[in-house]
Amino acid sequence: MADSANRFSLAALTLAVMGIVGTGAASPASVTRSSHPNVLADIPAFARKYRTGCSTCHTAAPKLNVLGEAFRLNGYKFPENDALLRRDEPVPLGADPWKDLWPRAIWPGELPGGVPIAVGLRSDIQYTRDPDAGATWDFLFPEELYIVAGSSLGQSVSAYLSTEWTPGEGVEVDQAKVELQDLVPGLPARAVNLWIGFQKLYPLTFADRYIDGAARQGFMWQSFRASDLDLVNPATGESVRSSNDFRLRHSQAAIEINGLGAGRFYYGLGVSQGASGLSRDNNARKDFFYKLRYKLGGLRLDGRYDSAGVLPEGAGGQLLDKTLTVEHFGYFGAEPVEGGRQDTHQSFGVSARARYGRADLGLGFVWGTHENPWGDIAAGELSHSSLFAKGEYLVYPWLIGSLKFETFDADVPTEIRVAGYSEGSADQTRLLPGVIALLRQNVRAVVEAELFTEHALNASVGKPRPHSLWFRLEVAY
Amino acid sequence: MKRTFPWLAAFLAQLLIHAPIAAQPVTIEGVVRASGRVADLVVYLISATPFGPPKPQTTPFIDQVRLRFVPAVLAVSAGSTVEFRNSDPILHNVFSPEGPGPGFDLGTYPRTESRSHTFTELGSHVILCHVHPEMYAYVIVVPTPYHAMVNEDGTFRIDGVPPGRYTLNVVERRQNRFSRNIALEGNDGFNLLLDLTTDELEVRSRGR
Repeated sequence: MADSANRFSLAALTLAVMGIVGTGAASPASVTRSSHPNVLADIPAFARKYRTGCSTCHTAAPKLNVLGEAFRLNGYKFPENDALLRRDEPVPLGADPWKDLWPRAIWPGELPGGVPIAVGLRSDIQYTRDPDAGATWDFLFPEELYIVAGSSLGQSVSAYLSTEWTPGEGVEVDQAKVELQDLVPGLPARAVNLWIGFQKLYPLTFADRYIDGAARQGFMWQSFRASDLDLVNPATGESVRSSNDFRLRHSQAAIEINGLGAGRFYYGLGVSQGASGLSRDNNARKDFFYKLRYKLGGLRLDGRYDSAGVLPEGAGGQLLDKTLTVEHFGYFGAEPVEGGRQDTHQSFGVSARARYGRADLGLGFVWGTHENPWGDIAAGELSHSSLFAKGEYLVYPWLIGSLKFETFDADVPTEIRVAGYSEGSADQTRLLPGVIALLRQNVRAVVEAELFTEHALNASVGKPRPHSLWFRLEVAY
Repeated sequence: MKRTFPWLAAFLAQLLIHAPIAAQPVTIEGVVRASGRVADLVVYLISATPFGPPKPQTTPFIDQVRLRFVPAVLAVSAGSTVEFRNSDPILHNVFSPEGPGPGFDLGTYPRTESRSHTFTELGSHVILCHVHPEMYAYVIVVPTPYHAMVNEDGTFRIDGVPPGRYTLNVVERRQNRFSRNIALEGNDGFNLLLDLTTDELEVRSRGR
């Protein structure tokens, strides 16, 4: 990369800041990012529709139980004879006999009987031991307000919309998508479905805090972006970051084909805009992703049960399953970066997750590369990997103990490392112990700590490891 | 031989005069007035003397329909076996915490299956679903076969009640609402008017 050599002497480059989301105090910027949850919520509108409690589908919202996941995959309907369960009568948009007249008439549809909107409020108290500012306590009241609208619109159409307001960023659309089910006649139910819109990709569902988060924090690999690495020229003090803001956790404009096979195998294939909504990736190439999942035992992914699985049991309002789920995903993207170049990047992940009664344990590994994150500024391939685990246990049906572990490595580009700087400086290892208490089914209190056992960046400059502690109170209605 | 047992004839005549005519079971029809909902009330009669064999009845059941137990209150005689059905297209559970009895858990089971439990302990047994906390029902076990659920309009009916002296009880879930001794004498059936707001009871024989 001669261009980069012209602008910055490689010998003058040093890796200064690693602002991976989830670290509490690596930099003020990273604190801001870490406190922004951008989280999918539970949808109390469904509780109204079916006159049932949150725990029918959630262990601790937004964490879904096995039936809730089947409900989600089925387009916000219960797997079998949904009409037998709902209490509000839908508004017909055309009578059933009109189906016989198609294509000479509009295919009949359906509106939900009630307005499927719910609101939520999250408030946090955040303690951060910042190496520069010292210990700080932040009252984030509210940390976030959100409005969620999700509903099935008949047998084969559903829609989901979530918006959020945060003090720092105002109103944002979190997701807005339409789901069409059973696109291919003659195939088994839910074999081929289409999701189109601004949506999350949900790679490795057990780790995904949008649909499986009981506590507060997600994993670093979900939030990592190439632009978190700040290259600083110590001679001039000038810094430069990649303009590639792609994160796996962000919603994207995407088209996804997904479906179930034999009730236990899930596939998802999609094309997406790439990057985040914050910086439009308007290049000629679109990103591609795939997801595979297989579930052994317990309730099937389609919400049914068969002889291969032991029926779930109940405990104090919680549905407890005994299952093993394995997952794999791959993501291939390209984002425009400095000098009109493209940063081609890939991420892959595997995980295994066991639910055994009150225990929920998951282990995963994610790795990826960015081939040219700094464009013509500095050459070098950025690779990253993460080993992570999550364990949760229902002490009582309303009290969950949570422990997450992860180690994240982002190897600095070879050219920079050869120049003698920053080897291993991006590495972080942390523990996240937490307690989740359901004060009510729709009122959740969370205490979660972030304890670093390794924080290479701070160590390299003689600073203590940053630790954080959150107290969260959330209500949805 | 003509004067052999004049005293015996006189004794038999006395017996015929004072012996009760064989009591024919009657029907009790009643109306309950209360300030609130009456449909969850259970009315039952406890005989002052031990009653005979329980009147025949079909197997009582509670179904699970649209995430509700139906009926939400069921009265049964001690020793009755209650069937718990599941008509919903999702898994349900049936359990009862410790209360009048030691409690039980029938497990989680799918649609079309049913499971049963025999209730021997008197009192109100709470029935819950471990996976749908909003669902509840009460099985009220009473020491008599003469019981009835009160309808939405406050009416109730108990068939096959032998005339005699009874204690009339009204219970609502876990609370005794009313208890009074009454005499049901005659073979024409009775109408009861019970006003829980004033605690007044009127018993009328239909033969008068």
